[in-house]
Amino acid sequence: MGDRTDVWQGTLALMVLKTIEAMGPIHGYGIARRIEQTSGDMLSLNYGTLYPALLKLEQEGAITSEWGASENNRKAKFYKLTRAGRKRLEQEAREWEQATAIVARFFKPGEEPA
Amino acid sequence: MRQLCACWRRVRGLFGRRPGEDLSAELESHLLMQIDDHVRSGMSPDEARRAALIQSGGIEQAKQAYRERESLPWLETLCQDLRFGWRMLRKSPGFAAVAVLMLALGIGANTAIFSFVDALFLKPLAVSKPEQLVRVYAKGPSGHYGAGFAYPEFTRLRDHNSSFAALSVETERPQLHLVTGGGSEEIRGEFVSGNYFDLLGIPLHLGRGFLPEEDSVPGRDAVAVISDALWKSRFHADPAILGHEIRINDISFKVVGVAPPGFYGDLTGLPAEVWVPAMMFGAAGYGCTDHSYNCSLFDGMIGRLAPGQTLARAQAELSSTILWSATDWPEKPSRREVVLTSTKGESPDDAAEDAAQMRLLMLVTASLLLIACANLAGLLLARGVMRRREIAVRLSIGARRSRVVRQLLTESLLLASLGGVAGLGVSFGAKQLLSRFYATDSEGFHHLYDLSFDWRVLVYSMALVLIMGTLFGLVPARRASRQDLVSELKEGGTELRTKGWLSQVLVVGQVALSMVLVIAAGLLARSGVEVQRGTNFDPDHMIVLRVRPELTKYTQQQVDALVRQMDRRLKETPGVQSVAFMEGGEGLVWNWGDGRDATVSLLGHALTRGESLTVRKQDVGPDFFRTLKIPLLQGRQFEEQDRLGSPRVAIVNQAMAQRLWPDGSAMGRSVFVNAQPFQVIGISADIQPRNAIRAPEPHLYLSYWQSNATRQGDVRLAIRVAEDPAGALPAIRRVVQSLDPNVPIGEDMPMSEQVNLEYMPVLLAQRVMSFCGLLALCLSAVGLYSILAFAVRARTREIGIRMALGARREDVLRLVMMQGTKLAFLGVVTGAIAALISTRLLASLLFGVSRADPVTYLCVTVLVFLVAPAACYFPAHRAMRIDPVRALRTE
Repeated sequence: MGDRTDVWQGTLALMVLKTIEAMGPIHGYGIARRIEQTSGDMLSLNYGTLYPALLKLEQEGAITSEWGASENNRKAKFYKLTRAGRKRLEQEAREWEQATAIVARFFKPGEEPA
Repeated sequence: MRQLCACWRRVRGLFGRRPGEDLSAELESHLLMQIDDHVRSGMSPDEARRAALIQSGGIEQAKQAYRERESLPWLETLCQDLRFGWRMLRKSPGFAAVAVLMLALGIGANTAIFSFVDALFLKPLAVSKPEQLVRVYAKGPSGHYGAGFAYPEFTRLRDHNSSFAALSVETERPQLHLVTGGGSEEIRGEFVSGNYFDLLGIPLHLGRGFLPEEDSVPGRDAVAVISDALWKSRFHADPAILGHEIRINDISFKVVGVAPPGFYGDLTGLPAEVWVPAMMFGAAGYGCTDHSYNCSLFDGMIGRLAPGQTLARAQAELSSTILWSATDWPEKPSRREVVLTSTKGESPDDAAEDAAQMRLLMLVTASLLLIACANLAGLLLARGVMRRREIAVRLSIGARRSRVVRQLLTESLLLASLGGVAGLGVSFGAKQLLSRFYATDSEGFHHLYDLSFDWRVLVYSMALVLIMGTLFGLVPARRASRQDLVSELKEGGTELRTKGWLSQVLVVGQVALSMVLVIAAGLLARSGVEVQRGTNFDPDHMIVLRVRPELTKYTQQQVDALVRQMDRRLKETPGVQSVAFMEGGEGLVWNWGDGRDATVSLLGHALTRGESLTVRKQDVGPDFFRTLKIPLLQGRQFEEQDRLGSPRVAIVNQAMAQRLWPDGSAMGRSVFVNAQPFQVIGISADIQPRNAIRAPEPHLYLSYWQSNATRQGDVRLAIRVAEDPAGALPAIRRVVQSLDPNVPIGEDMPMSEQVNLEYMPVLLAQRVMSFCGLLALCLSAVGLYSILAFAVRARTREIGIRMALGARREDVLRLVMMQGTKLAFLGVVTGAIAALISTRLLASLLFGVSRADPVTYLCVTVLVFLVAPAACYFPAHRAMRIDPVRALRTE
């Protein structure tokens, strides 16, 4: 597992929000697995990273949580987006795309900005 | 916004459910689901568990990270520190109690004085938008703001300016004579313009304010608004008062309104009980009735600035407004300057008078607080020595120094806050005590200041708490955290080196500062005794009162008849020993104010500079000197035969005799007053107390029955009685009222009380200084005691060794006593020098005593040297009883 990268600071919130949006109400374990899968096992999330991030989002009012039963009938805490969270996700996704597009232009050969 | 919201939830997280419980359950379920997955993918349960644990990382680290996120870590440590600090205080309740008491007294005294500063100088008027209000004064050549305006000057200013939205003239009179069914009394009233209540934005409690037309014709509209207090005390809060007539200065006024509760007019400290239109000023007996230029003056004006105007711009406009021309006002007044001031606090004249007093009191209470602070710093330094081991352990298991400093500082701030809260309680009591000094003045007029708690006082006391807590906590905290861990833990907390120079300096400083305060208190006490005793007159068993038939339209013949009758009837009254009377006006019977100056000369012709002398002149009746027991150094007092038509005679005081006839030949010589010769028939002693900045002034006494011009119907009486003057006062009043039930009587009180009120600043300073001085002395004793007690404890081993090596118990006793006495001695010397320099501030309050008075200095030094050994004795005694065997074994 040594080749797994730690999560990039600052992008975790975005990934978590996107995951919750895509999966609907989902528990912490599900979020962790989903992020690992989506990243092609390039990212690994341990408790110490994931749960404080979830707490922060909850404190900021982007998500809410609720205890419920998982597919295997285990007790788990499910997270879902709030309206503010959805708005924030849209905004941050747009900003992210913009930023990556700008950075990407620096690495495309022969396309100097006019 | 998002951060704010998160922050709020974190604060809630601090106090909410036990952190982590929820998280544990969540982590547990996370782990189980992961194990399930691994099992499904074919691992054995043990293997699955192991893999899951590896994958998920440390549970405790996760919990820690979560906790830090869940609440605010710094707030949490603050709470921890507070809890810990509270426990530490609970562990040493004696120390905590002493510290809180010291701080409470120090902060309480300071807050109480500041409440006065606030009320006297800072509080805005309790009216709508007080920041828009300004006062307009005429500043006279003497620098006083009360030179006054003639009424036409006011109208010209009102009608020719763009600075004010509204302008009202106003004049305060403290002695309006009110007659109601319940008798007659003096009340304070204000003459104001018709727009006064609208200008202030004061909605009346009952009825209405004045109408503009009620302030348009001199003497026509006798209407009045009365205060809520007067309405309740005199008219039983009867709503039917509206439309009723009340008699003020012998005129019937119709009551049209009652002011709201708590409104006493716009002059800080001078509570008005009745308001009447300015147009009634002349009719009420003040100056002429047509409100022309050559008329009595109005004190000042109050105005509301027009929107967007500033005080500076209004000032510029007013300075260039011409208020009168030579044709308007042929007897043109001396040069005056129109000055605008804010309406905060007292009038500039009163404020200037009170500022010196308040500065002194603030300085005194600040010194007290400084001593308390030094004392606490000393105590904490000593406790720091005792807590070295605890702190060394904390540092060695990884606490950062800043963390230790922060924790110790939290403790001292906690202490300061407790002291601050208790201090607020103390300040309420102290305010009550202090306000008595300001309730009445020597002329019997009431004063009222709004001492209610406000945000300025709160900020002040909180600032004191912060400054104190940091000041007395920081140095000991830094010092405690800067220690050598290894030696500390190795030697087990027995440090032989005494790094005590700082606490020694603090103790010397305390002794010195308290010495200054006690010396000042001693000087003021002697000064107080001196003024209370009276200088060459005897205020005991005396009653003073002022009778003003002028206010009820007496003719001069009627006045003369009244004075003769009063004199005769009072002398016949049982218990009365003798009666003196004199003209009224400015000043008191025994202390003459400004405004009764006369220019005298030795030559009959026109006076030129150098040949004339300005003196204070007073017309006194027969028996004046005998009644007041003023010694006549030569000659005789006035007699009945010194009346109109008989040779003009004068009595001069010693100061005047020496100024005019330095060769001592005053008796029988002539002195010209207003170009008329008077023969000197007596020389009296000076009755003014002498102090460093006030030498006796020349006084000239003329015979009451010999001067025609001054018998206008304002008389002061001084009556010597056999028994308690306060008890005899009602009988004296009854005698005067039996002659005319409506004659205005005022300033009636025992003369000794009047003396106290007149010298209120001396007595107030003396009381505050005595309180602070004694407290400071006690604090220094505590300081001395504690530094020695801790020194003895820190040196237990050393003393044990000394004793084991043969030192006798007396030697040990002497060792400790010497250490303490040395510090006290240093403090006394420093304090005496500091007192010599700083008592200069008291110069205006010291009567009949020099500020380098050797008796006071000696007494205080003896006092300190009585207190210091007492403070040293207990620690020394403990040192003496150290058992060398046990001291060496346990250490």
